[in-house]
Formats: sequence, C-alpha cells, structure tokens
Amino acid sequence: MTANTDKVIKKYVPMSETAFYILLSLFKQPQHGYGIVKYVEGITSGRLKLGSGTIYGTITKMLKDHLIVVYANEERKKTYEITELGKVVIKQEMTRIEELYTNAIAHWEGEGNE
Amino acid sequence: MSEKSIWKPFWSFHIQSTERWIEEMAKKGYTLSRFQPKLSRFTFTEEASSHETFAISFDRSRQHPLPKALEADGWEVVNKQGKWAIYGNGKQKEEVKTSIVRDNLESRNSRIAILWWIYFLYIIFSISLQVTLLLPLYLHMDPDTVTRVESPMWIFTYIMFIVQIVVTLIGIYSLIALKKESRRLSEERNQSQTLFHSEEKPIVLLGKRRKKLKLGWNYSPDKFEKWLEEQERSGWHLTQVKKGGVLFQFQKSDTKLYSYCILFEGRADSNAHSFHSEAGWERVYVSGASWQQWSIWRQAYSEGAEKPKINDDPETKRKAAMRVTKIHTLMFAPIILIFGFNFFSFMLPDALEQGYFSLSGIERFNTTVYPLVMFIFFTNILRAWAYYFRVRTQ
Repeated sequence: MTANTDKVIKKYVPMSETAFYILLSLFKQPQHGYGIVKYVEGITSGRLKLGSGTIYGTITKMLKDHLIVVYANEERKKTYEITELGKVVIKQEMTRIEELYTNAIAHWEGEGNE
Repeated sequence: MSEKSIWKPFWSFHIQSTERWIEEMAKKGYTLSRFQPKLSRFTFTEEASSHETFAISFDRSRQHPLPKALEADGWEVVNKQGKWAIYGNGKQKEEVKTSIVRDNLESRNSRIAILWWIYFLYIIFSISLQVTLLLPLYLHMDPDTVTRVESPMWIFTYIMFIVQIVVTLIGIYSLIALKKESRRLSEERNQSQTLFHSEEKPIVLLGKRRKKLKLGWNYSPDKFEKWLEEQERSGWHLTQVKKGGVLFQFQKSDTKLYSYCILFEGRADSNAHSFHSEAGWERVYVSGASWQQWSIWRQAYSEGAEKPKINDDPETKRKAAMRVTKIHTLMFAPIILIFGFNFFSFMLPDALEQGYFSLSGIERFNTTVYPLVMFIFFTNILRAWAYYFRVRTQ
C-alpha cells in the first residue's frame, strides 16, 4: 500500500453515510448522477433521499482524491466509475462496518438470553 | 522516416479543432510522436497511425486516469505530458461511443480568463490614474514645457511599451478566443444535458398578479427562501424574476408546497446545475455573470413528505453558507476600510474644525454620504455573518 493510499484511507475511513452509499452505488457498475440518487433510494427502501447538492459536493471531492473517475457515456451523460483506490477505501470501510455489525449482533443476542 | 514539427500557438483554446487536426494528420499517414504542450509544438513521424480518433485531456493532478469503460471502448493514453495528455482510439469517430469529460479544461480556461480580466482592470486603473495626474498638466493655461533628456536608457522605455502592447493584444485575443471556446465546449456538453429554463417558458398570465420588489436577499438567503415558501403557501405562485433578480412576479393560484433553495457559486458551474435539474429541481432564476453566480431553485412536494433540500447535510450547508458570507465580507470590507480611512482622517477632522455648514457643497455631500455608505456596507457584512451563524446552529 502506498503512502497516498494510506492518506486517502485515513481521510475517508470512517466515512459519512452519504459518501458510503455513493461509493457503494458505484461498486458494481458505473452510474450517472441521478442514477446514484435512485440507486441509493432503492437499496435503503426510500429512507435515504440524498440532496443533489450534497451528492455533487461529495462526488467532486472523490474525483479530486481519485476514488472515482468520470467519463461521458453514449448519450454524452457524465458517468462515474469507481477506481481501484476507491475499491480499496470502500472495502476498508466495509470491514469496519462488519466489525460494528458483528459486535452489535453479539450484544443484542446476549441480551436476549438473559 | 521523415519528421514534421509544427508550431500551433493557442492550440489549447481551440481544443476540438486541434483534435480534428491531429485526426487529419493521422489520416494523411502521420503519427504524433512528440507532444510539447508548453511550447505548442507537435511533432509527427511519417508512419501509419494506429489511432483514428483523438481527445486531449487536461488534468491538474497529472494523473490522466483511464476509466475502464473508456478502455473497453478502445481508448488509450497515447502521450502524457504533465497536465496534458492525448487519448487515442483505434476506431473511427462515429463508432466511438464514450468520450472524455472536459470539466478540468473548462475550469482551467476560466481561470486564465479571470487572470486576463485582472490584468485589464490593472491597466485601466493605471491609465486612469495617469490621466488624473497628467490631465491638469495638459489643461494648464500656460503649459509647462516638458524637456526630454537624451539618454540611451530610452530604449528600455520603448521596449517596455512594445512588450506592453503585445501582451495586451495577446490578452484581448485570449479573452475572445476563450469566450468562443467556452461556448463550443458547453455546446458539446449540452448535447444530452437538459436544463429546464423556466425563465424562458411562455408564461400564461391568467388571474390576479402581483409584483414584489426585494432587495438585498442575498445577504440572508435562508430568510428569503422562507419568504418565497410562504408566498406559495398563501397561494401566490412565483412566475417570473425580473430586473436582475430584484423584481418578483407572483400569480394567484392553488396553494402548493414548494421548497426553495438559493445557491451561490464562486464560479458558475453548469455541471452542478444540470445535476440539480436532473434531480427534479426547477431553476427559477440565475444571475447573468459567469462568476459569483446566484440561482434560485424550487421543487414541489406533498404534505407529509419530507421537504427536499439541495444541500441536506450539515457540512455542505455550512460550507455553502460560508461561501456567501466570505464573498460579502471580501467585497465590502476593503471599501469600508478605504472609506473609513478617508472619512476619519480627512473629512471628519475638516468638518469638526471648520464646522459642517461652512464646508463646500461637495464636501458636505461627501461627509454625509460616506458614513451612510459605510453603515450600509457594514450591516451587509453583519447580515451575512448572522446568516452563517443561523445555518451553523441549525
């Protein structure tokens, strides 16, 4: 892992819910801006409606840090794609969340047995 | 194998035609072998080119990433030189589906344009200063004779004069070329992006109307958003914003819930605007300038649903508010300082010494207006800061 990767991980992990869901929506396939909004709304069953300014700000920041890249697709629509660095960062965050989750469940079940 | 080196000044101000030119050269059997962006030099070797389509990318971070989707479409980075890179594709232009995004290039161009504007402001300032200093000399009843002392050093004056003229000409050319270039680039970008220009929509004028004059809403945008939302709630629908954003025209209509958002951007960001527009926001007003741009957005929502907001997390909100506060402070503070210096070190002592009524008309006017202007500007700064703290404590 290079020094730059470490720096970026330090900056992004732990990340905000917005940032996490934006990266997550790009994890499997590239998306255009409004696609991200719809995707996140879908996987959170409508709970998380991201404001377009918030998404735009986060995306701009991630582009600068090379977590994602942008290109124009067939319809000349701006499409965002996760980079290798972006994948490293979100996997780190997923591991952290997994730990949170296992610990949470362990304590939850423990309470049930009392 | 013969080489051909071509100097193409200002190539980066005509990016599309430069790309087409490289494609033409490729068609004629010349391959770009060397690319010196700073020297505006393109060197070609006479051999069949393996690329037919070209794109020039600008990236301040010098990374020039190649998204997988572009790679899959046949793109590769042919030549990387610092902030510039040439991307090539073996396919014909019509068959290439994806393209690079030119945001970085556009912001670079607008930065250059701003630098030239600063240069011209400085020139205008120094010329007007010289005129005010020298004009009394020319208008003098009995003209002083100016003696020209012979000196070999005059050559420097002439050289500087010529340099200044050349720089100015380059500046004029650059500004014109950049203006045209930004139009071409935004045309290219807008082929797919749609922005709802509600200000261009035909307005059906039925029923009762009323106009409201609103000044200075940009010092406390949050209050103005609330005011607009209240108008809608009481059945007055905003139909038009006129006169540079001070005259608001409403029409009596059904009560509807609207969320209004006021945005301020240091540099006009049409990408952000099409982003919001795609997310269902309607732009009701945008100020004309390409920097320090204000825009008003709205979106209808139903009772019981969560009120939509463009900026909905505290950090983005705080940052956006800080931008507004900062620009007002930076704009007014220097004027207040200059006015204050004049007022407290010259005008006020004069007025106190000679008595207000023995001052001449113009002096009396200045002594009255200066503190008034200072007071208004100062309240503007205070209002902007009050706005920032309201957003922060929300």
